[in-house]
Amino acid sequence: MLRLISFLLITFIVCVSSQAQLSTIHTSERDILSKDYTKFILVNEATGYALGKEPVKFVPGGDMPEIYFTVDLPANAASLATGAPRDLVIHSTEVPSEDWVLENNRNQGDIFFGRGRFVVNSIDKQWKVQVMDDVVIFQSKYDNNYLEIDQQGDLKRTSSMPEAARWKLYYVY
Amino acid sequence: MKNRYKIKEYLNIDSGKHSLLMFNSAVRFAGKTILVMLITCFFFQIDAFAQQGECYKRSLKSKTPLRHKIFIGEFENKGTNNDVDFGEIVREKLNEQRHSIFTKDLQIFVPVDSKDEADVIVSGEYVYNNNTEVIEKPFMERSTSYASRIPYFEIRVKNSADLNFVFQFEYKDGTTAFDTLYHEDSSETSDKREIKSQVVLEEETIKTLGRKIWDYKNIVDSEKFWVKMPKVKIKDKEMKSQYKEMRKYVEEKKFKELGAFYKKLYEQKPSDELAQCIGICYEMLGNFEKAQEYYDGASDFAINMRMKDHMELYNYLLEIGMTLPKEEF
Repeated sequence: MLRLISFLLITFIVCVSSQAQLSTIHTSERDILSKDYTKFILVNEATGYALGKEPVKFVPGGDMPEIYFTVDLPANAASLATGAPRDLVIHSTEVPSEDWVLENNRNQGDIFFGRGRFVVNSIDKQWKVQVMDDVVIFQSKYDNNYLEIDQQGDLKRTSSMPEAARWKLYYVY
Repeated sequence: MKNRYKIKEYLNIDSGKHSLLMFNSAVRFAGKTILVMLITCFFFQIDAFAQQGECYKRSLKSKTPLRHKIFIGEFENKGTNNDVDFGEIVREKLNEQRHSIFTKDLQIFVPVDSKDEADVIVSGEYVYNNNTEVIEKPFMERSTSYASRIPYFEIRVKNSADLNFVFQFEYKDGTTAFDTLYHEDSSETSDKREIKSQVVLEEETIKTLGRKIWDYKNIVDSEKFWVKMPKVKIKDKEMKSQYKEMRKYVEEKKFKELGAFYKKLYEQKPSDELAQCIGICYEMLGNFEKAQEYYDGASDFAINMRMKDHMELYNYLLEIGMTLPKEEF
């Protein structure tokens, strides 16, 4: 009886532990409505900057800009099929009253965080994610250029994948 | 007339002879007196020793508390962390008066200013470390719905603190004893609870140290037989309910019954706490030899101090031929 209880307890602990791992890094529609965002700090180790409306140098435990991801619908419906590549919309939480979204602006020819509320299915706000070991790079769905960040913290675009910024995602509780 | 002649006759005795007689009388008188004095002294001494034994047994009932003189020496910081002066904390705690609503004064030892007059010199050394560690834990999305799962990390901050404190007790009989306190604690960030800061860990370390010093002050209050028995873990339900009843025996001074109960528990499962409880019961009954057996190896310096005094007198009384009671249970 004692062994059975021990086994059940261990199984329970294992299950609970595994549930601590995120199912997906993007925030679901339901959680967006309740503003329960799955937030991250995106850090480029080469420059030391954390991605945000105003990129800042990363300090562990410090007050850092936070990002959350969504999957834009309905244009991305195909991307939700199993095995499909995923296109993400990158949001900044720096200004809670506004929805700031990273965009590869076709008109201004620049990359920055712009207002994203009520804007859906905008191709210049969608980013393809590519995994490189334990980091990711973002490729704009608009012109296939990659997101880059320079030593001054300015966001740029580059057509060269080796020059693309590698981003490490740190989950924020 | 007859008397007058006798007196005359007496007065007619030769003066030299008279002096000799006087001298002899004086010597005899002095000798008898001295003899009486010696006999009186002899019996008085025996009686005094008996009184001492009886007095000693009774001293626990008297209003004279047992107090030892301690010299509080230096507590050296052997580490590199100078954030907290644990030596100063220990010094303050040792000097602290301990009061209770049940007894008036439980200051067990009296701090003195010189090593020469101290019964024990308390000193020691310590090492305190604290550290903040940033740990990165890698994870991967669980979902397999997409072309590739995205890796992410969790930053865990871990605060830790540990204290290793070694106490040294140098007794006036030349022996030395040691006692060690090791306290370790850590706290890590998680989504379930808040991390304890270094300040909080430090405070908890200080509290643990304070409790250790407090434990050193557990001793008999001679006026009221106040004894603190170490807590004992009992699994047996019946024994557990009996244990609750037995606790009041301390106040009723029924150390024989209490001792027998503890002995029964000890025979089932020996432990340091039970050994100490049995030792205290024997000590209260005056059977110091048995008490010493059970105390043997105890790290409590107050017990060691007390037993040194007990055994010194106990052995002395045995040497001079006293028959001392050996209460058993």
